[in-house]
This record gives sequence, structure tokens and C-alpha cells, in this order.
Amino acid sequence: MDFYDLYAPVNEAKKALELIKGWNISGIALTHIYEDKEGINKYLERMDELNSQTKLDLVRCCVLDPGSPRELKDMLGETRQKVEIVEVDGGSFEINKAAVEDRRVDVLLHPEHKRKDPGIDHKTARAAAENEVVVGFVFHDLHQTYGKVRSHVLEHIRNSIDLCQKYGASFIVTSGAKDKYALRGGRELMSLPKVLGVEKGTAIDSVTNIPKKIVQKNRKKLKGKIKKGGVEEL
Amino acid sequence: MARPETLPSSLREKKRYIAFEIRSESQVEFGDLINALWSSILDLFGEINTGRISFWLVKDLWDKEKQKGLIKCNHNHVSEVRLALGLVERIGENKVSIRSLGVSGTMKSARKKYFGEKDLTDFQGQRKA
Repeated sequence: MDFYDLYAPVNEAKKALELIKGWNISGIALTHIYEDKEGINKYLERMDELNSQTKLDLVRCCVLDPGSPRELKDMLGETRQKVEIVEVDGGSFEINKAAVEDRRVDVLLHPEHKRKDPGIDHKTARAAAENEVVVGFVFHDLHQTYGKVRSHVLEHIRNSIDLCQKYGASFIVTSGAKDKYALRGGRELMSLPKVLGVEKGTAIDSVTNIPKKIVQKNRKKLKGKIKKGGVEEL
Repeated sequence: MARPETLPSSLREKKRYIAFEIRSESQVEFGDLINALWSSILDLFGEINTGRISFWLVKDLWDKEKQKGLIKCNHNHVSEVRLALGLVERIGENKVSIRSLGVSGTMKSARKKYFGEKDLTDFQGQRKA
């Protein structure tokens, strides 16, 4: 199976890549957290350098952490044409809503982050399905919590998955590793939705086919093979 | 002392063996490992569900050099054990990343596949040749 991890903002990229050798991971997004234009250019240079040193499919990915929906739109304008995957750090309901309503966003990460509810409702789930925005759940959130809080996080993830399935939105599971030892194998990531009651096939897709398809589609878009309106040049 | 007879195989609980590997800064001790795994699984699933999982860490197959081990569990609860393994962040003082290598139905095949052990059947083909 081709496992993909689309959110791993690891500090020591080289060491992390060495650690996951032989883990059956096909692709990983060593994510950059967006601050300014210069930061993205430096990140892209570093990724080019790393790409020549590894056989893994390194995905160029940027996480946006906007303060308001207006700021999100500005950030999307600056990043969309430069990186393969654009993710939005969820949490605030306004941001979650704005992210799923914008087709330029690929992944909305942990909509339930630091909240007392799942962070998405039936309307946002439907909007995510319509605009092909994928909802991403972060495994590292479970590392950072325990006891009562962890049980709430699991409950919110379960509710979000139910909504996604009802309205046809896709979801993925990512490691969210900030250091190399927080990286996890594909089967460990896959076990999260499975334990929460998702069918085996869907759980596998959440770490294999869905992330792979997003990456392939966006690469075609960046090369200009997919025109506006979804027409593909063959 | 009188003991109950071993149940026939059709009445016994079906089990699976999960081989795993630990990556960490320094070597992990078995005592620390067992504490970390039990507390992870108990925190996550509680006492009743842990009973259903029939979790057991096989002591004889802990390879201290290669940091590999084997877990026995009920055949319906492999994902639960994998999730609990993934949620172990520290063992003793070490930051760790635990990855499951694979699942097998018998201890014999787990030893062969994941621990590189061999028995006489592996050499039968060679003798005929």
C-alpha cells in the first residue's frame, strides 16, 4: 500500500526521512507553516535539495494559520500557485467555514482543535463535499491529550467522520509530527478511523488513495494540465 | 494440583500476533516497555475493553538488540492494539516511535517472518535438491 502522510511539520527533516526508511511510506509532506513569501521560497529550495537525497515522494505543502477569513483569502492568493498542497489549520469555526467554502484549500486540519464541539456542522460538511475540501485529523493531537480531554477529542473526531460520510466529504489521517519520534506508520494512522467505527476500506483510503489523489491532481494543475473548470489535457 | 483440560481448538479464542519495532534515542528496557504498553491500552480502552482485547506481551520474544517484540491479542481487536501502540510517546526517559511490522496467526509464523528464525522445514527443499 502507498501510504501518504500529508502533515508532518518536522524540525529535523533529514533525520526524520532516515527514521521512516523501510516503513512502507510512499510520500510525506514535510509541511511549512506559512509566515511570509520569503519563507516559502526558502522552504521550496530546501525541499528541492532534500528531494535529490531521497526516493520518497516529498510533497510541497504549506499550512495556513489565518486570524480571519479575509486573511485566509490573502494567504491563499500568495501560496496556491507555489505549493502542491495547501492546508488550513482549523479550530475557529469562522476559519473552518471559510476554508471549506474555498476550492483553493485542499485540507482543513483538525477542525475540532481546542474546541468543545467537532468544529464542523452539516452545512460545513456539505460545503466540504461540494468544494472537494478534505477534512484532516491529526494523530499528534491524541499524544498531547489524555484522560477526559482525549476522550472528548475522540468523540469530536467520530462526530466529524460521521458528518463527512453522510455528506460525501473525504477525510484523511495525518501524523502531525513536530519531531521525528512523533512520526507514525501508515497502519497506525489507519487504525484511528477503524477503531472509531469506519469500514476497513474507507480507513485504508484515508491514508492511501485520498491523499495520493489530491497530490496527483494538484501536480497536474500546477503543470497546467488541468484548466479552469476541471478540463484535463491528455 | 487438578487443572481444567485445555479446550479443543474450535472452542478456544482466536488470536493474532502483532510484531512491532521500536525506534528511540537509546535502548528500551522490557520492564519500562510493558508498563508503557499496559498504561497506554488501559488509558485508551478502559479495563473492560482491555479484557476483551486479551492483550499480552510475549516476554520470550523481546529482542533487546533489535528492539523488536511480539504482542498477542484477540483476532477482532488488532486495530485497537495498533492504535494503542501508536499512542505510546515515551518509554521510561526515551522518546519513542513504535511501528507494527505485521500480523500473523501463529507464533511460529511470526517468529519466521519477523524475527528471522528458521526450523527444519526451511531446509527440506535444499535436501531434495
